[in-house]
Formats: sequence, C-alpha cells, structure tokens
Amino acid sequence: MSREFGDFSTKSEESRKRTTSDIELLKRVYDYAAGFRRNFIIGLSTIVMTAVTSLTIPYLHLVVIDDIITPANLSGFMWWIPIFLFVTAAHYLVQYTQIYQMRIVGENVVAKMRDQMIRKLQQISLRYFSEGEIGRILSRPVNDANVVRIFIRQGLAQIVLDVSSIVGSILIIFFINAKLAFFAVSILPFAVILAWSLGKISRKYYRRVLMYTSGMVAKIQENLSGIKVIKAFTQEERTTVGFEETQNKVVTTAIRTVAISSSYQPVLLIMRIIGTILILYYGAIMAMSGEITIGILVAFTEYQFQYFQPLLDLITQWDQYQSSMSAIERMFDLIDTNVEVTEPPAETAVNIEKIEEVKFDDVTFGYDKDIPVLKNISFTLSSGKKMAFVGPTGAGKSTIINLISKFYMPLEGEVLINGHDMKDVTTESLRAHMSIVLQDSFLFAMSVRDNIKFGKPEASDEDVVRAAKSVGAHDFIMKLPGGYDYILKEGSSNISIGQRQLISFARTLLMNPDLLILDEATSSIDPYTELVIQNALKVLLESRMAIIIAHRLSTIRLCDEILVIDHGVIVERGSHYELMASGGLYSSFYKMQFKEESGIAGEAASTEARPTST
Amino acid sequence: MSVAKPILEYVKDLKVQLDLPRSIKAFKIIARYNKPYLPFIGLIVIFSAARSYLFTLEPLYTAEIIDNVIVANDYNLLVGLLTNIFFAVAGFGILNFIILFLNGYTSKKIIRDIRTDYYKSLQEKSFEFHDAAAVGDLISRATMDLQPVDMFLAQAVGTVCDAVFTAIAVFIVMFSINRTMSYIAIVPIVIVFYLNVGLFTRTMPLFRRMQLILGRLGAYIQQDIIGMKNVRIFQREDEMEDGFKQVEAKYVETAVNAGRIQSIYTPAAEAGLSIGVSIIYIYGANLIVSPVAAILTIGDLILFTRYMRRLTMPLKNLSMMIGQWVNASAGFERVSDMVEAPVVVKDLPGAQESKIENGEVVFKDVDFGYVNNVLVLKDINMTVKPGEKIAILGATGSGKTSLIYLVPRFYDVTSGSITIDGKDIKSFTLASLRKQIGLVLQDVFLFSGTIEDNIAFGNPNATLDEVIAAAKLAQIHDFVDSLPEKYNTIIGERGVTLSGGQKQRITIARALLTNPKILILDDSLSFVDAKTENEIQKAIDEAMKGRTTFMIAQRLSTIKNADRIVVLDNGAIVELGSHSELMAKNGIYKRIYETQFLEKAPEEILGLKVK
Repeated sequence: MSREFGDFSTKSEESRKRTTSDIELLKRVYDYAAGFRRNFIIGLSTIVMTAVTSLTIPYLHLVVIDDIITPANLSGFMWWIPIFLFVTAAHYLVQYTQIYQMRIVGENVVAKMRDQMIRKLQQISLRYFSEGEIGRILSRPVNDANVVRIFIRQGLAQIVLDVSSIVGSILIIFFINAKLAFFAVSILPFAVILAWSLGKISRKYYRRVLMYTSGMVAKIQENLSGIKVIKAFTQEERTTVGFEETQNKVVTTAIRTVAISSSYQPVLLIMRIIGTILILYYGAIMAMSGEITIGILVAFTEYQFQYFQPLLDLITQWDQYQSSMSAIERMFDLIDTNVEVTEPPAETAVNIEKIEEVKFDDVTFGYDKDIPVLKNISFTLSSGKKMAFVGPTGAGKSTIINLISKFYMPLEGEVLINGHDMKDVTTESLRAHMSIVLQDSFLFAMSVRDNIKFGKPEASDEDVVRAAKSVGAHDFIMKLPGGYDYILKEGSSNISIGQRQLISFARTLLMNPDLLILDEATSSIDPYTELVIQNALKVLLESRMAIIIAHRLSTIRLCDEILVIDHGVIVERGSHYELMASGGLYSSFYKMQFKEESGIAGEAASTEARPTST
Repeated sequence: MSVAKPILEYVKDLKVQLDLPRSIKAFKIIARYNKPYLPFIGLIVIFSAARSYLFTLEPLYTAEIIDNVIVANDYNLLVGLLTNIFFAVAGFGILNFIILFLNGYTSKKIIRDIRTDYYKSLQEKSFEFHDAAAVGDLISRATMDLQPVDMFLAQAVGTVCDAVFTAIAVFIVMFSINRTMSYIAIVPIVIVFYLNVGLFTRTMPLFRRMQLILGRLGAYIQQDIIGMKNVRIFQREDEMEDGFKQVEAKYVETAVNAGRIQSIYTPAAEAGLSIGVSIIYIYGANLIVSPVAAILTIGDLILFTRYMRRLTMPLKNLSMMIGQWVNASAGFERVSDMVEAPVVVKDLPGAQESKIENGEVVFKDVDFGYVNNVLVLKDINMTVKPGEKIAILGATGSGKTSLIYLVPRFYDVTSGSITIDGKDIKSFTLASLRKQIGLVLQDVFLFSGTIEDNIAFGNPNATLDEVIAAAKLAQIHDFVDSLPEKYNTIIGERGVTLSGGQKQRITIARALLTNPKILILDDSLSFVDAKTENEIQKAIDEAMKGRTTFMIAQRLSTIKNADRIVVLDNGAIVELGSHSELMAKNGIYKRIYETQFLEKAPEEILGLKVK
C-alpha cells in the first residue's frame, strides 16, 4: 500500500491517471469516520428519510384535493391535519439531524486526514521539499482537503438525497399512474444530454478564467515585488498598462463564461416546461375522461420538481465527485508516503548521551540511486575538533551534513556516531545533541524571543537574552519595536540578512549542542556586520565539535582539518598550512581568489585574504 | 505552539461582522463605481419587471387548465393555454438569461475598475508603505477580498428587482382573487424570508471566517515545509503538529457552528412554508366546498399554493444577498483602506520638470526617521561636488541605504534639505528627478521577459545597439552573447536561470542605459567576483566621468577607490574623506580596513563589549 510520494512529481496533476478505484478510496475515507460511525449512520439514514418525508407532502396535497375537496368532505381534515403535522415535524427533525450530523462527520473526517498529512510532512524525506514542489505539497492539506470536506458534507449528502428523491418520486408517479408517468419522464434523456454537454462547455471556459486569473495574480505579484524598481525608473504607467492587459483578458473570458453559464438557464427551463406541458396535456385529457383525478394531475406537476431539479444537480455533482476522488487519492498519496529514515527497533536502539565521535566509513550516497553524489567518503571527527569542507557548489558538501543529521541514510558504507551505526541511533537523541546553522537561516513568523527559544522552549527569558548578547544580537534586537517581542514577518523580510543570521546563531547557542554543523553563508555582508558575525561564530564554535562548510578564510583557519571535495570525492585533506604547502587544488584555488582581490594584495599579508569559493 | 501563536491571535480577533457606518460608506463607494454602467442597470430593472410579469403566468394558465378545461370539460382551450405556458416560460428563461448576463457583465467591469484603481493606488504609494506591506497581503486584497464583492455585484441588482417585482406581481394576482387568503399567505412568506435572512446573515460571515483561517493554515504549512530542516534539527515536529491542530480546531469549530445554524434554520424555513401552504389548503378547501357561493375554484387554490412556493425562491436569493453583503463590505473595506492610505512622497504644488546640469548634491542639516521620530540619520551635512564618487561605509542599520534613498526622494527628509545644483529636490517633479538618477538596488529584481526588455526597462525606446553598449559596460555582454537566443533570452521561471552575479550585472546595465546624471549603487556587486567587480567599477568610472556617483559596497578594495568615503555610525557621519586621508586619521575606517585583512579581534575594533 505504501507509495513513493515523489512518483507523480514528474507528471502534471491534471493529466495524472487515477490508480485506485472509487470504492477503495471511499472505503478508506469511511475508516476515518471510526469515531463518528454513529453520526455517520444517523446522518446517512436521515438523508434518506428526508427524501421520504419531502415526497410525502405532495401526496398529502393530492389527498386534500381528491378526498376532501372533490367529495366536499371537510371532516377529512380531522385525520389529515394530525398526519400532516406529524410529517412536517418528522421532516424538520430528520433534516435538522441530517445537516448537523453530516457536518460533524465531514469536518472531523477531513480534519483527521489533514492531521495525518501534517504528521507525515514532519517525517518524510526532505527530498520532497525542493523549491518547485512546495506549492504541490501545500495544495494537499489545504485545497484538496477543502474539496473533500465540501464533498463529504455537501456533495455526498446531496447525491444520496438527489438519488432518493429521483428514485422515490419516479416510483411514486409510476405507482399513481404509469401511463401519465411515462409521458412525464419521456423528456428526461434529452434534458440529461443537454445539461451534460452545456456543463462541459462552461467548465472549459471556467478553467480558462482560472488560468488567466492566476496569470493576473502573477503579474500583480511581480509588479509589487519590483515596485521599487518601477518607481526608481518611473515606469509606473507602463507597468499599469501591462497589468490592465492581463486583467482585461480575465474580464473578457469571465464575461464570456457568464454568457455561457447563463444560457444554461433558458435551455433547461424549456426542457422542464416541455415536461410540464406533456403532463398537463395528457393529464388534462386523462382527467377529462375520468382516467385520473385533478389531485393526481396536480401531484404530478409537484413531483416533477422532485426529480427534474435533482437530476440536473446530480450532473453538476458528477464533476465535483470526480475531482473529490482525485483529491482523496492525492491526499492518500501523501499519507502513504514511505518514511525512508526509520527509527531503530527498541532492542537495538542506541541513545546518545554525548556526541564524541563522528565517523564516515567508505560512504557512498546519492539522492537518486543511480547518480552518486558522494563516493567512498571516509573521515573521523573526534571530540573537540573542527573540520571544514571546501569545494565548488554541487561537490556534495551539504549532502555530508544531511547524512550526519540523519536526514538520509547512506547507500553504501556506514555513518557512525560514537562507534554506533547511524541505523541504530535514535533520531531524537542524536538531534538533541547537535545543531545546524543553515546558510539561509530560516526564521518563523513569530516573535524574536520565540525564534531564539525554538530549539529549547523551556529556556527562561534571561537565557534568551544571554544567548543573544553572546552572539552580539542583543543590541539590534532592543532597537526593534517591542524588542524581543517583535513579530517577524513570513520570510523574515522585516529584518536584514545579517540580523537573521545572528538570531539563528543565538537560537543554536541556546541549545548548547555537542556537535555544531555550520553551513556558512556564501553571500557576503558589509564589512561592519561581517565582523560582528565572525565574532559571534567564534563564540558559537568555542570548545565544540564542529563540521563546517566554509567559505571564509577566517573560519577555515579555525579548523583542525580541511577536506577538499570535488565531484563527490575527497581530493585533498590536511590543515590550511599543509594544504598550502602541498600546492594542490586548495592552494591554487586559494591563490587565484587572492589574486583577484587585487588592490588589497599589496597591502595585506598573503595568507589573509578570503576566498569566495562559489 | 509558538509558531501558531501569532496565527491563533489573528484567528481569535477574526470576526466578520456588519459594521453599519462603515458598511454604508462602502456601499456609497461601490454605488459610485456603478455609475458608468447605469444604462445596463436600467435595462436590468426593466427586464426584471417583464420577467416577474411572465413569472406569474405559468401558474395562472395552469389554474385555467384545471378550472376551464378539466372541470369545465372543454378540450378546446387546452392547446392554446399550453402554447401560452410554453411562451411565457421560454420568455421568462430568455429574460433571465439576459438579466444574468447583464448583471454579470457589469459586475466584472466594476470589479475591473475597482481592482485597477486599487492597483494604481498601490503604485503611487511611497516606499514607506511598501516597506511595511507584505506582497501576499496586498495580493489577497486584490483577489480574495474582492471575490465576495464580485459575488454580491453579480447578482445584487437582478436579485433585488426579482424579489420586489415578483412579490408585487404575485400579490396583485393573489389579492384580485381573494383578500383574506392573500393575507394568510403573506404571513408564512414573511416568516420564511425572515428565517432565511437570519440564516444567511449568520452563516455567510462564518464561511468567510473559515476561508480566512484556511489561508492562515496554508501559510502555516508553508512555513513548516520551508523551515522543515530547522523543525527537525530542533526536534519541534510535535509542536508544529500541535500548533496546526490548534488552528485547525478553530476552523472545524467554525464549520460545525455554521452547520448548526444551517441545521436549525434551513428545515425551519421549509417547515414554515409547508405549514403555510397547508393552512391555505385548509382555508381554501373550506371556501371551495362552502355552499354559499363558489368564491374559490380548485384552480385558484392550486394557484395560491404555487405562488407561495415559487415566491420563496426570489426572497431566499434576496436574503442570501443580504448575507453576502456582510462579506462584500468587509472585503471591500480592506481594499478601500489601502486605496485611501496616504501617499507620503508626492509632487509639491509648483514642482517643475527641472534638468540636472552638474550634479552637485548638498545635504544640509538632514535628519531622517521612518516612524515615531526615531531618527535613522542625524544632522547630515555634506557637499558632493559634481563628478565625485562617494562610497558609504557603515554597519547594518547605520543608515547607509536611507542616506542614498533620500536623493531620488524615495523618502522625504524629516528636517533639513537636499539640493541638486542648488535646487531643492522637492522643487523637481518626482518623475523628472528620478528619470535623471540611475539606481541599482540592493535587492536584485528582474521582471519576467527577455534580457533586452530588462536592460531597457527604464528606457523602453532604446535600440538594441544601446542595450548592447550598456551590457558591455556592465560586463554582461559576453555572457548574453553566448546564449543561443542572445538578448531575446527569456529569464525567470520559464526561462534561463541566472546567477546572482549575472542578475546584478543586468541591473547595472539597466541603470546605465537610462544615461543618468547621478548614479546610485546600493550594494550592487556583492555576488560578483572581485575581478569582475573591478572591471565593472572601471567601466562605470569611465561612463560616469564628470557625473556624480553614490555607492554602498562590501569590498574595501572597491570602497578605497572612491574619491571620498563617508563612514556612518548610528545615523551620523563620523568620518569623511579619501582613503589616504582616513588612513592617516587613524580612526574607525583605518581599524575596519586593517581588521578586514589582518584579523584583529573584532570586539576591539567595534568597541563592543563581549563576555
């Protein structure tokens, strides 16, 4: 049953063929109703009962005409009124129950599925979170879940109600008078075909409107993101014209869609009235000949509304049903995704108390099994030591970090922590003792304080301030409106890159990890901030085991060993001075960088310039 | 819990409610937008009246068939009456189509007008506004918030006319048949209408609330996904999940609440109508059977019940409109709030299109602060001679960017003045001032489109040769020339991905192509390697010979080549002079310069106290 979530990332969502049958999907959805089975059964049965009671009422009217008015027998109301009141009360009750119960079931079932998806997101491999995939993943717990939610609480109820109503009313009219019933329903096939094809056309246009709308939104987004450029170059008028063009496309198509979907109205209305005319024509003739009563004729025209409209509704529901099934399948795809890195069984599980040694033993790894990113990597990092990885972008440096963090498992060879195979080490104990400072230093849209406390929620406010002071972040935080309570925006766009980095340093320092992994930022910062950051780094790295993807010379020089990686292979290793002396890739790369820092070359000592390795 | 905290705060205060005075204001503005479409609206009103008339016919003819054909046993009238029914209903359908179309047409046009005004107002807004606003929020105002307005406008006129005219037409017929019975019929109709108004005014805002919470849930998951590495490393998975569930619980709660309201009101409205119809049956039966005189026929009775049933539909739509209005006015308010937000930096009365001749820039006693009188720049005095190249150095937040952004009036000085060639920059029109100043922003932003489009962004009439010349100056021509499509290469999502350095060089070419009198470079070479930076600097020096340049740069190698260097600290100029002057001064510049290369203890240089 388990599935590779990434399977369909290559295909477009639209063209994807469904692989699971509707019944299977619905069965699984039904399983989610476990805690709400009673509500579900009550809901479903009251829907059917709603159809029954609403079909009874026209019959009661038939009775009034034929058994009370025509024979002028007013005493008939003596029994008719209680029956009527009973049916009305019953109708109210079942309808009330139906709406409420189905809502409870629908909301809770979907909430449960959504929760499982969120749970899964925290577990599945990071490979699914590459930049282009985020929207696709996001649409599952948000858009897909919403489609299914509406389907369960509305569509499902509507389908059951419509079907019961259609079947019930047609059965009743055939029961009352088969001949007239035959004339009454003869128009239905034509109505169904027409409704079906009209629906198809308007769906096509509707999709086009959606497409143009997203184009317009993209345009607004682009122009607002680039508003400063637009204003700097005084191009406001030109970009407004550009926006108006994309908007006009939306408006033109939307108006055309309105025209098409409104034309639906008279066409179906004419179909309905033909049905009514057939009933009235044959009904009148039959009534005159005494074959049927007036009450029956009136009842037929009332029942017509009970099967005609639901039938058209069903046709529109069909589309919704289809998209709900696809949405359900997509949700299960996420829920069923394999968790690649699993926890060791309790008997072999090793809990790390303190990280003392990290060892790579002949490790080969690739995100795609056939394309190795790392080949036969071996190294040992022992307590208190620092190791730097240097090499061009794409050489595999970040992959090493991913393996140490147990985000992935090696394809060949072993990663060992304190001599234990990573497979046996519990993720929780490993990560409790290590921390990563990432290049992009992601912060959450919450207060600065909560961001610093992110890895250690139980930390006191004093601890937070102390950590911020140690990395030199306190001063700027105090200048923010609200200080530590300043709420960051999504994407932390309301503070600078340098400030983001300092906050993430404080966050890491507060955790006080045994092992620190640092993916140093490539983008350079102004010399002033650079100094503050360098200082913070020193605080952070002090007497700690560290693995660093280094770009700055000052950081590289702090390390005991430097590994030069190229194309997934370690090509050189040693200290800065050893590597400089050996005259290999490191030294030539370094010298080349240094030369380019011309202008400084004459004044600065030859070992002091910093290479920018990307 | 902590990541969910701001969202829960938001959800807690999230109430979509009808605020009468503000709603009236929104209504007035929306009514103003309707003005150009008054002829269409007039047509809708006229057609609606005709539609309501046709609406009454089908039940009337049906009643006639019962009374004059079946009861009277007279076949002759049947076909004629059925033909009438057909044309009445077909006519009704066609009018309905026309009304729906006209209404949809005007609403789309009105929404277009509102959105265009909104968009234009955003473009007019000053940098302060855009610094504070989130793009996602501005977009959701143009889409999500206008959606209920669209839904309201698409039906409002037609629905109101339908309800009013149909009620009038139906009551006229009813009263002409039987007064007492008409009064009896009105009671349930009013009750049902009242129940429906209750239903929709209570549920519609809840649906809106759900939509808004769902948007926040999406934003929450997005953060979770983008920050997933952090979540896992810091082992906050459970917390992220719990936070989600807490927000989700609010969502489910709202949904179930709406369900409860629907489950009470919807069947009540149906039962009310059903009881009303039955009372009419009972009363009507009495009249028909009454031996006094044949006051009422069976056809009349059927007619009454038909009308009651049918009339509830337009009235139900009307009550839905009323509920919809709560959402529409709330959504529209969020749009008009932005439209009405003040434009801080604008042309002063009497501003002129002036020419910059020499490019002498003088800052005189300039103070500047963004908000709450917190000054970012204090007491800036500086005279930049024509043709000078000024580099600005300072820590993050020291006011570097603010300083150079004051020149093209992206922000206005709080006090003091800036003059160019002796003329206050406020005496220029914004357009003429900015057209003569070339700007390369720190934040590299390129538009989707070709490379040529992007370089020619500020000067759309430039020839390809001019574009190439600018590209050569910015050292990007060789790269562009190596692409198969050359200057027609599409960049962005659907095209070639450029490196940070390549993007920066294109933005430099873009600025140079406007042939500016003053050039401002805001940290615009950070992704370019040192060698290329040097070459670009040389090219810029050549191109800007005799013109004034301001620049913020990261590499001291670039900074030291400036004519003069401004060192900013905490918003004040602490040092100003050429590289050699400042080195001789033995001040902060010298200390930074030395540590950059000689790695002295940073705390010593910055004067920071580090434990």
